[in-house]
Amino acid sequence: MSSFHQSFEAIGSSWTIDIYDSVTANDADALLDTIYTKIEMFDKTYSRFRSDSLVTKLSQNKGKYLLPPDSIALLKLYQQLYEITDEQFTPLIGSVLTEAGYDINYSLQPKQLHPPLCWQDSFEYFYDTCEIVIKKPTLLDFGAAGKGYLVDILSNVIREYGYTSFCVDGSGDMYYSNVKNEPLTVGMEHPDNTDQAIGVATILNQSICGSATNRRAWQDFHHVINPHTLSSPTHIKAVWVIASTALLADALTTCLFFTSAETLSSQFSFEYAIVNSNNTLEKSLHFPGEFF
Amino acid sequence: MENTETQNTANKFLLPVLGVVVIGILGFTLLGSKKTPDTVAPESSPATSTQPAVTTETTTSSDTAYKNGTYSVVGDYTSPGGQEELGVTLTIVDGIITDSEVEVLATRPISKERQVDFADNYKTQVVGKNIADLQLGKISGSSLTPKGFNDALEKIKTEAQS
Repeated sequence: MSSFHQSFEAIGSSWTIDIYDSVTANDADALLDTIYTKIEMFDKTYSRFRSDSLVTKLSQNKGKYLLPPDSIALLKLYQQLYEITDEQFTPLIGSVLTEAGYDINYSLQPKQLHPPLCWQDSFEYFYDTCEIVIKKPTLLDFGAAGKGYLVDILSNVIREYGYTSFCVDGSGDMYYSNVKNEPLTVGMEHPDNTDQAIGVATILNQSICGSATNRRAWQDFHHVINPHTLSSPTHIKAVWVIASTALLADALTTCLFFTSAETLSSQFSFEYAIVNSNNTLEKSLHFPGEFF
Repeated sequence: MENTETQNTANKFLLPVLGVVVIGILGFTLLGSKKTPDTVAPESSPATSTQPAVTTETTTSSDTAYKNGTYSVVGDYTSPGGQEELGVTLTIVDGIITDSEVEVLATRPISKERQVDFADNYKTQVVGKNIADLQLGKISGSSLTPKGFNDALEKIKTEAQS
């Protein structure tokens, strides 16, 4: 039972925030206000689905622009993952997703796909000033980690209000904190049958993020497209990652479509479970969960 | 876990091969340790009636008998049609098999078919349970899509049917 329970739509999906500590009525109002403001700021900066966003502006004209301070952690992780996945995990995927039909209007009508620009040809980001210099305008997409990052940002808002036991759930990408050390049981949805789960993960003061190819799928595509093959990977049906932040967990669920867990774990600490297209399961040695 | 009749037939021949090959690989890497091995199934073993005995050490001390690494061996068996081979590769980390792969080396069509089926299915298969019957705090899977996306999906489905 949570004393604060709010569900709403944001950044293209359904969210639920629960706070298990006692939340005063005053705090509840102020907290919700802050949460909605943060979401709007985030969306207006990073969304490629809004004509009034900064990302849309960056896709139109060369020049120097200023990103908000939260861009530092986001761009830093994107750069690390861009390198470790051999450039398959890339913020430059926006143009490819759009050509595939996952565009601002959700046309879902694929056109001719073209390889995206490489990072250094498109832009340069400066970590000390948060400035981004657009050399060749192109549509950036931060969808592979954006939701996870927003989960972390909202978790920080809750902590700033002094609450320490809560769950921020962005439609299956979540962070859970509990000072009483009571773990959260999270069912892992069966990618072929959403009335079922294939197992239960247990998390505490961690994030679990899930990705699967069943919902955002059209024609031959789903929401993950490989920039080298210009097609959506078909060997994996579902991925879960458990990590200390939702930003990392979310990003890694996409990376695992491209790069082995072994390679990724040389630089990052995480647990994972993967359902392959033939329904076989692969998981990390210490994945905190049971499969049926 | 599910097994087809084909799989059971394949398993009858191939699991013991897998087991023998695994023991062979681990024996090959043994460095004279006198520790008592545990019998554990690797993460990727299917549930059948003919489970192979896989011995591995679960110690992580510095003088662990099994060096971390990837090992490949070819095992052979006699099918009803004659001698066949199966390649097995194991990855061992801290004495535990963390990954495995089999390579289809069969020459006869039926054996090849059995080996391919085995290769595709010997790892653990996922099984679903109804969420309504489980006590779960939360669910995690692909993100729910917004109305706009769902509407677009419906539209192209309708167009595809017309």
